[in-house]
Amino acid sequence: MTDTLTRPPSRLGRLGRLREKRTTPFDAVTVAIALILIAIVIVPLGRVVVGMFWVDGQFTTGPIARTLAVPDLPQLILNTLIVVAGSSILAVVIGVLLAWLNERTTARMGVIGDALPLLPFLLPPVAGAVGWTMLLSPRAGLLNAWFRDFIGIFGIEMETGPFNINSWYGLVMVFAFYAVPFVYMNAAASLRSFDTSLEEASRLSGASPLRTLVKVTLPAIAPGIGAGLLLSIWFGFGMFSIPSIIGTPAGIDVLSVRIVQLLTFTYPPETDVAVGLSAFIVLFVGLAYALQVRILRKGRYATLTGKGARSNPTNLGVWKWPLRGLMLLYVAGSTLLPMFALVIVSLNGYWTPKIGWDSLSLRALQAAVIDDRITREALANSLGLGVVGGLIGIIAAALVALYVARKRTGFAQALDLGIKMPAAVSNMVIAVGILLLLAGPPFGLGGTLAILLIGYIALYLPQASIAADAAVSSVGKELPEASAVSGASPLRTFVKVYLPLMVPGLVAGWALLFIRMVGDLTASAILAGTGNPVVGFRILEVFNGGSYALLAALSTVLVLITATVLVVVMVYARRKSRFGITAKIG
Amino acid sequence: MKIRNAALAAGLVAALAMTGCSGGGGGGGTAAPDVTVDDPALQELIDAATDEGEMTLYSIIDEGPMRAVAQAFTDKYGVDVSVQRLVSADLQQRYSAEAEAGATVADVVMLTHSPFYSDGFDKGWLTPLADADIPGFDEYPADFVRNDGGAAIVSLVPTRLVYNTDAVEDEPTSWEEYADPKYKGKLLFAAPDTSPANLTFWSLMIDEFGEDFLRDVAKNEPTWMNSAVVTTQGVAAGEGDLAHPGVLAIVNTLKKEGAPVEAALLGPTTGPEIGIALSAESPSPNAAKLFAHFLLSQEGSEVLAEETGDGSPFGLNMVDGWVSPGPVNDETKAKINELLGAN
Repeated sequence: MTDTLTRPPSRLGRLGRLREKRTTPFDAVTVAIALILIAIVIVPLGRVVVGMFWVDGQFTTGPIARTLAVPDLPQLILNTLIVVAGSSILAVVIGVLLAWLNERTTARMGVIGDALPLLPFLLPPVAGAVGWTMLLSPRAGLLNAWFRDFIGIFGIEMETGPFNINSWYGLVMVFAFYAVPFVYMNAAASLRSFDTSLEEASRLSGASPLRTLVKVTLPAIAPGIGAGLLLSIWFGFGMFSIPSIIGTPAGIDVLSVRIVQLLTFTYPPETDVAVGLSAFIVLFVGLAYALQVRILRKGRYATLTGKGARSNPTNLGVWKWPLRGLMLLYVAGSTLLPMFALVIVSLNGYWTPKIGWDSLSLRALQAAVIDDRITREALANSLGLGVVGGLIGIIAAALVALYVARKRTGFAQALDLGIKMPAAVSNMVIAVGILLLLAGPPFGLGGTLAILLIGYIALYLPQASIAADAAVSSVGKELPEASAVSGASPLRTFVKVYLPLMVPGLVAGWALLFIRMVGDLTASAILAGTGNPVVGFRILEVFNGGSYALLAALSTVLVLITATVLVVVMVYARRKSRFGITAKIG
Repeated sequence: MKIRNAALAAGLVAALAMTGCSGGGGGGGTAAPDVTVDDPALQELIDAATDEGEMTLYSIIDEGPMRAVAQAFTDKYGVDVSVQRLVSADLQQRYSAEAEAGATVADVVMLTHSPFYSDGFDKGWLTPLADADIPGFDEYPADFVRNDGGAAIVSLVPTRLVYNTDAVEDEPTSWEEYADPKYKGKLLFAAPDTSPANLTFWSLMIDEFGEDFLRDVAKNEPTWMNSAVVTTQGVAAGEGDLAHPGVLAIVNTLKKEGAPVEAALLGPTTGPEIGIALSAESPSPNAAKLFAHFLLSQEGSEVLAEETGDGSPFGLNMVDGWVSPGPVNDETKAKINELLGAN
């Protein structure tokens, strides 16, 4: 089995590739789906870019000059890189550790452990940023005020602090909390499908748990970690609410905030410079992508083989409970704290460190959710869109990921790039493009749920695609080859072999899409309306209207609902995948 | 699209029914009041609008007040208004994309007067008010008609001074309070270049109090934030004592929730002027015109002013020393940023 790990892409694989030169109807459908999805983003974006460089029938380099003339450009790029790199590294360390503890050690806590690290994700970033501001603002932050009250008992007087969310560490911390789920999900999925006999072998040879982790487990799940890292880098570059609410007061300007400012400050928007700045994001994300492709190409990672033996998880001995405590502490700190702040503020009516504990009420909740017909409709729409959009998105992504993995042609690579590109372009530009393309004749989708569905899929496909890539790479070649040799059609192999084996990774990808779609703010602001309200749109409305209490109430309800859906699906998938694999292999 | 067709059909049915009995139901199930007026042109417009039965409004005005105004209109004429509240940038992006795609949804747009309007007239997205035969439009205060009669200003939103009532005992009486050393480290300001209205405001402050005023404000080390929402929330929570800019709608929301925050109306001041314009490809053109007629009448204008607390061109809630916002050039913008120490 060790040879799965060290063997270069097999000779059999090359034979297989020869066979797959033929284009089957299955491939044709895959390519068609990919091309449609790419077209939805590329066609409008292409129009914007052509419009930038082709003015009054002449080619111009004006946009490039104007972009480079942005006075604080180097500072802007440097700030962005520091925040994104710092938070991504932090996220990889935390995410992998959590995944390992929960998948491969005796500290595991089952589905609870699976779901908890994803929680920060459920809180829309704008609510998360507001929650952290409420906790750690130097003067009025709840934690700061309580800490000062506490040390006041000992006669120590402070007027502000000691913490300040509006700082480098505050910004990187909140970014990291939002990035950990990306790493966790992918690393956990890889760990779940990985051949545990390798760990067993390492342990039997006398290696410590730590050595086994570093020397065996981590290299084996490199694609999963890489996918997680790539997603968190991607996410970091695109994130707007967190740097806008937390970074700006600290004087930390980043690319994403500037891009949105350029798109919103003036009329007509300065789209050319905004797109120009996006080019830098494309560049950096492109570098990260190249890194991930290298990891996948090397092929020195774990794949599922025909032998599905599961060995015992690493025994942590006396460390089991302290490490469990650490996991719970992380979850409490990263998610429950801001949630707690939001709930308290929603009950209190407004943000203040002087909470009126005896006059808390559910008024805000009542006003934001129960009494508001549009909000209830919006919740239903968003959940429906999340379920359906997530499903379509992840299946499309899986098809394309498989195609790319099997073909490895230039065309396949181009498809892959095309499908991942939207991640590097401002959501707002894409959303406006989709509105331009689909709202009017001949499609006439303006104001419908369909345009939101298409918009969400186009926007979040890159994330699905990265998750799907990792899932495909974990399947390996043995089983599909066995299927093909036995005469199964590509479609049959996909349905009977790939899909069941990819389930853990795909469920993680679906969950990711579901959460992103339900909590989407940017595309919803452009594509949703009174005829097709969604939750993100309502959240934006109450935020802009100036009510943190309504924002808090709405976000809390959203988190409760999405968390329930997520846990149910994860429990189901865990059972299904376990039975699925043993039934197919055992 | 389907919904629109269904609504159209409903409107048609209602229209047919009305030939039999005048003052029948409008679209969307709202019972139309029996409106009769002296002006035959207006009567004709009312009849045509009731036949359409409903309209869509894109507006940047806060949701609560806007819905209340729409309701007042519906109560008077029996025409339903579906209000879509969006911030300026989203509204402009969305409206222009829809218009360009040939899928205009909004019958009426109400947003801060900006180059969006002239662009809209040039591209044929908007139809000038002056060409729409809106009864009573001739008598509208001429100072508030823009784009050669194409659009009109319906609401003046003065920038106010926001303060925490627990920390600041006496209501501030002058903008110069921002420069008072006792507020050092306790100012939460939206960065000047987060909105054109902020730039206009600071340029007005230079004209009124001189450049030294801005330098003194800078000495108080304001915390620069990204929007009036976050600065106002911060002051309400006690993170700061004074905030800028003060937007009454946000302050009122917080006051209703019990927060110790207040907005002082000081002169001279400036702020966004919210205009109204009609879509050229309006799905319900007559309802749109009737709505414009309503908001451009003293009655409708005062309902809006009462609901928002902002100024009406007819005089209600107007501040002494209102200065219409003009564009601020790059040079002045750079100077403001430098004097205030922002960026």
